[in-house]
Order: sequence, then structure tokens, then C-alpha cells
Amino acid sequence: MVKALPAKLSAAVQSAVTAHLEWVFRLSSAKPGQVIAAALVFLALALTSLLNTRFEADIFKLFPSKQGALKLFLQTLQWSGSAQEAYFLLEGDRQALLAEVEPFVLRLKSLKVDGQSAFSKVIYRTYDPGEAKAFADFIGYAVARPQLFLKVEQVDNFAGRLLPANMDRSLKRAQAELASQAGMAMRDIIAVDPLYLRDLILPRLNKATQALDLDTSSPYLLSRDGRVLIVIAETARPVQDMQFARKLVTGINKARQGFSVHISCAGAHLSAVIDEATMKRNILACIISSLFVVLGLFYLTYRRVLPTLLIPLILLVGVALSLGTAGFFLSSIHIISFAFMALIIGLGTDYSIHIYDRFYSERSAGKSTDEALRLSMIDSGRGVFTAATTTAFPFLALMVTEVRALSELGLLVGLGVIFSMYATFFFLPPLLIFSEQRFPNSVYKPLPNFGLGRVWNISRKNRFATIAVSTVLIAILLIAALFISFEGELRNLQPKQSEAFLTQQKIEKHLSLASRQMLVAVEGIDLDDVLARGRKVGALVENYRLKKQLAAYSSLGQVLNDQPSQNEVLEKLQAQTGLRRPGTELAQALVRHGFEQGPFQPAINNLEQLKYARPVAMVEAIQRLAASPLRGLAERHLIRAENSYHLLFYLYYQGEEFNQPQFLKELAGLDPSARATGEELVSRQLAGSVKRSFLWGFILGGVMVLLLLITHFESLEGVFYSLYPVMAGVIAMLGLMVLAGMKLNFMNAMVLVTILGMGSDYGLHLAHRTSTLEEGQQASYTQAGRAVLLSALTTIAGFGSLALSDYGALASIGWATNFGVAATALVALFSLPAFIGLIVKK
Amino acid sequence: MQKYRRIFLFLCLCLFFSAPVQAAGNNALEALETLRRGFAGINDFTADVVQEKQLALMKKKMVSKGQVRFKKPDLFFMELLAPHASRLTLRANVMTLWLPEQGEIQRVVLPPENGLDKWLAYLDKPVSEAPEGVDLKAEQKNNIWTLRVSPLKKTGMKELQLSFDMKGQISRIVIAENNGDRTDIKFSNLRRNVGLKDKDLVQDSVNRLTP
Repeated sequence: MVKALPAKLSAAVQSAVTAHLEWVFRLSSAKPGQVIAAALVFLALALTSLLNTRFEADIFKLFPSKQGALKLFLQTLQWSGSAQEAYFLLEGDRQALLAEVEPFVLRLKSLKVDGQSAFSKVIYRTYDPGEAKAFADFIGYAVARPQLFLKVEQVDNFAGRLLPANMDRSLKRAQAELASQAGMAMRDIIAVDPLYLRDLILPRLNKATQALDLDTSSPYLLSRDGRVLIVIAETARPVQDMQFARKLVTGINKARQGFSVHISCAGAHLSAVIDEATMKRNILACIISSLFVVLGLFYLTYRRVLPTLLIPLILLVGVALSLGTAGFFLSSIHIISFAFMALIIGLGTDYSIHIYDRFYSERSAGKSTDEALRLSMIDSGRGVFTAATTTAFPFLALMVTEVRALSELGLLVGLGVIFSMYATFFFLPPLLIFSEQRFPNSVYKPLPNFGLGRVWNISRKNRFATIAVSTVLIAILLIAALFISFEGELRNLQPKQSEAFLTQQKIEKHLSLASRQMLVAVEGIDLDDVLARGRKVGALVENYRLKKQLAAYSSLGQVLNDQPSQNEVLEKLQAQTGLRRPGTELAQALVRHGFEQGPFQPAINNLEQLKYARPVAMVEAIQRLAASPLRGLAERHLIRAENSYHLLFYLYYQGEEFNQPQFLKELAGLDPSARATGEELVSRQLAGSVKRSFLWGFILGGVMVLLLLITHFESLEGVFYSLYPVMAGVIAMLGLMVLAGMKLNFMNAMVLVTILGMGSDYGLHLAHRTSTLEEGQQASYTQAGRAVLLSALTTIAGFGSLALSDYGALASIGWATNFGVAATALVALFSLPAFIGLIVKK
Repeated sequence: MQKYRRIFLFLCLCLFFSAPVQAAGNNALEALETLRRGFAGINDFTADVVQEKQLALMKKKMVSKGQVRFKKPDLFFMELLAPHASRLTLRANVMTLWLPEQGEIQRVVLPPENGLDKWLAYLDKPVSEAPEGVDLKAEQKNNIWTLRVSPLKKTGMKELQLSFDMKGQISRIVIAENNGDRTDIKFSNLRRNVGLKDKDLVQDSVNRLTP
């Protein structure tokens, strides 16, 4: 079937490829000036495109965020203003923290960017004395409406404070406070609440206001263990404005110098800028180290300076043209995608190795320059062409994925591979011709064969044993591979030494209410409808708290009583106060203790009206809360955005005890439009995206590779020679990952797709040179095998540098690819001679 | 905020107590410089006080006796005795109020711009100009200086009045507020550099809870 159907097509493709390579060879060897001029023009165009490309550092832009948990997560960051916030974590002993926080805050407040204040707001205390009057007004409102703010369990205490004896006690306390030097500040609040009813209401409000686990005895945002103190600053301009963000970070770094406590910084978007320099250093180190290793390997093998020096030029052209071309397709390129350059160094060198190795071998065998060049460019070139396309297409297939991190990497590597291949085809011949003319007496000594001759002999002589040993080894690794698991924790993919990452970890350790958090949003246009639906969700959440699946939760319903609760409070309160008139009794107590009655008249009236009180409309309560110094409570739990109301519930839990699937199922049953987000849900969403991307990438990449191999070999055997090592390599890769304690994750899962293209090259090159020739097979194997070995080593050098990266995501790609490439190359070199011998003999 | 400014201004001016210097003239800056130089020479002080407060909330004056103590660099303490007993500690800009009879503790962080450090820094340098945002008037009669400090902006406080002798020793502070509230504190039995320890200014229970 393979021969019948696509035979003509295959022959046509082969013929076209050969003709194309002939044209490239003619052009590059006959008109090198034109080639260089054209290359310069393309480079200029690429540079123009590059200058107009925006480079992104925002980590959230790497993932699909148009729907699901990640969308809600990013929305809440935006709504709550957290996206604009910078978090400063001061670490030290308690006294040092308290001594240093004020001077540090003063520096932050005076920090300017482009002549403007860098921060619009700096929060570092639980209470702002500047809002004392507004706070007193709100307290006056709150204590007059116990039905709205009082827990049903507190009604007895509330009623108790209205007893004459307790009124006397409260008024004595008021006198003492007024007589003190702090009395001036307390006068307003004493006037609106002389009975300290606020003591029963404020703890509930304060608890719901706090998103952090703080030492409640400290006026600062101090952790309970007294080890860290947090300062939250809202930037004056969006930190997505990179120029502003960079200047801001420079200012922040200056502002935090000279303190006795350690000050670190984090923030949703600011982190990217803070880590930008580290990230760039990291990627640059990867690129430079892999370049040195690759060039070193090439030079040590061939001992030729000019071809070695040509490789950086080829790589530069490949990288520049791929970035320039990608600039036409993408509105921006993420800075993390620059890691692709390390991969291009590993992959782009392969083509020079294969072509130069062939050229050198032919010259060494006595062929003329022209003959050796033609063989290397046309014959080996055909293998290189197929190998490059089988590498590039699976990478390009990743463009269909919804995960930007992968699609961008796929596009850049795919283009980089193609451009590197063409740079090799166009630049190598003129250089070799120039080199031959410049150094006519060059001697081509036999190249080291790295013991490949012995490998060939052993493998060919012991075909069955070789196949059996490799099969057993692969079977063992297959068993190990069956235990591979998926890493869903996004934090494990973050850079371990990143300041933002470490700061975030410390915040979680010292200030988190619980180790994990889920956020539920009930949304709609009509506020009453949203609140009504929110009550049902609140009941569901409370049920999970009672079942101890949730450690705690925070919602508007926790501080504002709904209508039934308000009725219950009023009923109990009115039953307890009975026929008494607390307003009149307060007036009498005030007289007894020498107070003027006039300033307390509103408080007296409010207490007198308690017996006629009715439930308060929730809209009014929210508006009042939002206008008070406790507005953070309303802002945290009820958002008005995009013409809708978003009622938010914050659920805190420790781990497995919270049955999330069941909760989400019940939530969907209760309110189908309710949404939920949290780290685990975001991880799950990304895992789903990656699975879909993997499936499509595998199908598309696999089909492309298969078609390319079929057209190249025109036989199933050839396809087998190419795919067997890579399949064995994938199994070995997964098995070795398990043995090394690694897991599959969002990023390295895609290596399974890309290894298909990269790994199939090794079998392809070996089969291309040895599967049909009976004579000189060993020499061809040694030549092709050396190139394969060097290719694998240079690829490992490229990816290996990623493996040493601080970024968990990049490091996992590096290790997975190295395992896969090494295993594929070894299987190809050791097993293929046996398989080829067996199949050819048959 | 303005209320806390008033509290601070009052507390800081209390620190001028023991200024054994000669007045150089009868203008406000001279009067202020007299106080400043006196303060520069002390490490700590203690004094008895009698405070009279006339508040809009109360029908009658609230009269309290007590004591104030100060220790450099930034620790201030004021105790009022029964019937309105309270102990107030100010360390830098954190004020803690303990009501022993009620067993209540209040803690307030004052704005950093009004921190004790800033005022103490002001007192460290010779006075060449009036502090920003206030109008100063001084008069001398019968060897007693009377310095009147009025905020230029409209605030809750109308005027702060300090009386001190030619040696710079304050005998009285009066705070008048726009709403009619008035606090009058008379000082006596002043002792300077008596070697106060931190524990003399911070009650055990307050100390334990002071951040």
C-alpha cells in the first residue's frame, strides 16, 4: 500500500528535494557574493521586525486565560487590585521589624518614578488613624443596627450591655478614656457608642477583613510568630507598563537598602520585572555554556578552525531569522521563549556536523573537493533535509496548542531549525571552497571513529543477542515508565531561586490562613439576585466548614446578616429587652455619671428605637460598608465590574480533606453559573490544556514525520529504522524519569512530541547511509554514526544547559530531552546495525 | 489625624520641662529656643501633674492627679490616678493606653510623620525658625514666659499654651479646642536626670503587650 499509493508522490517529492538541493548547491558555490548579500537583506528585515516586537515578561501571559479557573483567577487579581500590588516582606526579630517598618514606609511613600509618586497607596497598619471620624460614623451606624452586624449567639451579650449596671461600668470606662491623653481621639467614638457595643461587632468585621493570618495584638501587618511583617503598596501606574515597572524596581531596590531587616518583594506582575535580570542571566548562561560545549565538540572532532567559526554565524542567522519571522506572526514574544536559542544551538549544529563530516570523510577517502561537496550537499543533504523537516514540523505542530508557552516555543524552534538548515546549506559550501583554495595543502587525516567500528561489528555479528538485550532493557524501562505520574503543582515549575517565588513561599508560611485557597464567584447583573444566590452558596460553604472539610472561609454573608438572621436577632433582642427602654436608661446613666446628654442624643434615640427595628436592606448595608474605613471588606467580597456584580467567597483548606469534585458538583447543582478558581483548579485546567495540546501535537507531528519518512525511504523498513530508536527512546526517557524521581508536567510533556522529530533523525541518517549498501556499510555506518553521536552530544549540550536552569519548567524540559535524546541515539547506534543486518538478509 | 497631632504636640512639649537656661529675649523663637536648650541637657525626667479637663461630653471638669516620665530616646509615660485611672505609654509612634480598673488595653499607631523621633530631631537643633504650620506668639510677664502655639490650618485644636519661668521650667500647659474642650495641666515636683529605667516608664502588663 505504501508503495502503491504514495509512490509517485514520494518520487516527486524526492526529485523536488534533490532539485532544490542542487539549486542551493549551485547558487552557494557559484555565487557566494549574492548569497551573502541576500543573507544580509534577510537579516536586516529580521532586525526591523525584531525592533518592532514587544517582549513580554508577564508569566501569566504564558497560559490560556480566556476561560476557566485561570480566567477567574486573573480577573480577581484585576478586580481586587492585587495585580497592581507590590508586597514587601520584612524579616527579622520583632523589635527590629517594628523599628524599621516606619522608615521603610516613608521611603516607599517618597519614592518617585518620572517625577510622580510611584505608589498611590501604602498599607502597613491594620487601622488608619486618619479615618477616625469616618470610623466613628460607621460604628454609630453599626451599633444602631445589631440585626445587621450581630451574630445571633451574641444577642445575649448585647442585651446584657443594655442593663443599667453594665451601662454604669461602660460609662466609667468612657470617663477614664476621656480623661487620658488618648481621650481626644476617642471622643467621637464614645459619643456614638458609650456602651462599647462595638466590642461585640468589630471582631467579626475585622476577622472578615483580614486576608492574612496576623498578630491581632499588633497594629502592624505582623505575622503571629512575629518573624515577618508585610507592607502592601499599590502602584500608581499599571506594572504591565514595562518601562514604568523597570524604573519602579530600580527605585524599590534603592529604597530597601540600608535596613537591619531583610526586605524582599513580590507581586503578581511586578515579580516578573524583579526576576527579569535573573531570568536573562539564566537564559544567557544557558546559551553561552551550550555554545561553548558545542563548538568545543566540533573542533575537537574535526580540528578545523574555519568550519568551527562558521557555526556561530549559522546559529546567529537561524536565531535572528526565526525571531524576525516570528515577529510577523506574534504580537509579542515572551522573554522565557528566548530559551529556545539554547535548543537551536543544539539542533542547528547537527546539520553542519552531518554535511561537514561527510565532506571530510570523502576528502579523506581521496575524493576531489567538488565531488566531496556534491556528495555531502546532495546525498547527505537529502538526509539532512528530511531530518530537519522531521524535527521542525513537530515543533511547528505545537503552534496549534492553546498554551502560549508551548506554541511560541514550537514556532521559534521550528523556524530556527529550518533557518539553521538553510544557513548551513548556503554558507558551508562557499566556506569550504574558500578554505580549500586558501589552504590547498590541507591534509584530511582519518577522523576518530569513537569505537563505532567495534560497535558495528559486535551488533552485526551478534544480531539476535543485541536485539534481545536492547528489547529486555527497553521492556524493563517500559515497566518503570508505567509508573510515571503528572506534576500538577505549578509552583514546582517556578524558578527556585527567584526572589518573588521565595517571598511568596514565606508569605504562605508565615501569613497564610490555610495552606490552600479556593475562590468561588456568584455573578449577575441584579444585586439582589446575586445576594440571594450567594446565600445558598454560603449555606453550602458553611456545611463544608461544619464537616471540617474547610478550615475557614470568608464571605460577605459572614459579616452581614441576611433577612432571616436579621429577623432572628431582632426577635431575640426584643424578647430580652422586653418592656424596658434602654435609650431612657442610657440617658439616666449618663446623668448619673456627669455626662452631658446632648452629644449622646443620637445614641439614646437609636437604643430607644431598637424595639421597633426592622431588617435592613442588604444593598443599603453594602453601600454603607463600602463608604466606611472597612470598605476593604466590601471590596474584597463584592466586586462591581464589567456591568456585573461578582460576589466572592474565599475558602481555606489544608489539602485532601476537602472533597473538591463533590463541592464543585454541588455548587454547579445549586448555581450553574457560579465559577471557582484556585491553584489546584488552575493546575487542573492547564493539565487539560496540555493533554489536548499533546494529543493534537502528537497527531499532527506524528503524521508529518511519518509522511516525511515515507517519502524519504519509500519503504516500511526505512520508516521502522527511523521510528524504532525514537519509540525506544521515548520509553527509556519515561522510565529514566521515573527512576530519577521526575514527573511529567505541563512543559516536559511536549518533549514527547518534539523527541519524535528530533530522535527520528538518528535512525534516518544511519538507515540513509547503510540500509541499501552491502559494500562499505561499516565505513558508512562509522561516518554517519559519528555524525549522529556528535549531533546527540550537541543536542544534549543545548538541552543540558536548560537542565541546569533554575526554572523548574525549563529544567524539566532539559532533563526529559536529554534522557530521550541519549536513549534514542544509543538505541540507534547499537541496535540498528543488528536490525538492518537482519532485515536486509531476509 | 488632627487629634493625634494635638496629642503629639502636647506630649512633645511636655518634654521641655527642665530647661535651666536664661531667656534671651521676649519673642517666640527665643522662648522656644530656651525650651529646646533645656531639653537638650536631660536624659530623663519625672514630674507630678494635676490635670483639669473640660469636655463637651461632660457636665463638669474632670480633675485628675498623676505623674509624667520621659526617658531618651523615645519613651514617654503618663499615669493618671483614680477616679479616672489610666496609664499611657508612648514608644516612638505607638501609643498604648491601659485602664487598670477596667483591665482594658487600647493601642494606636500614630502617623509616622508625627513620630516622636521627628519632634526629638527638631529639638536637637538650635531653633532658627518656627515649626511649619503653626503660628507662635510669646509674652513675658513677671519672669514667666507664655508661649501660644496655634495651627495655621483649621484643625480641631485652637491653641496650645505653655507657661514657663525664666529658667525655662514649665509650670502649665493648656490645650484649647475649637469645640470648646479644654485641657489644663499643671506641673510640680520636677526632677531631671534621675536615672529612670525603661521599666519605670512601662508597666509590666503594658510592657508585655507593647509591640
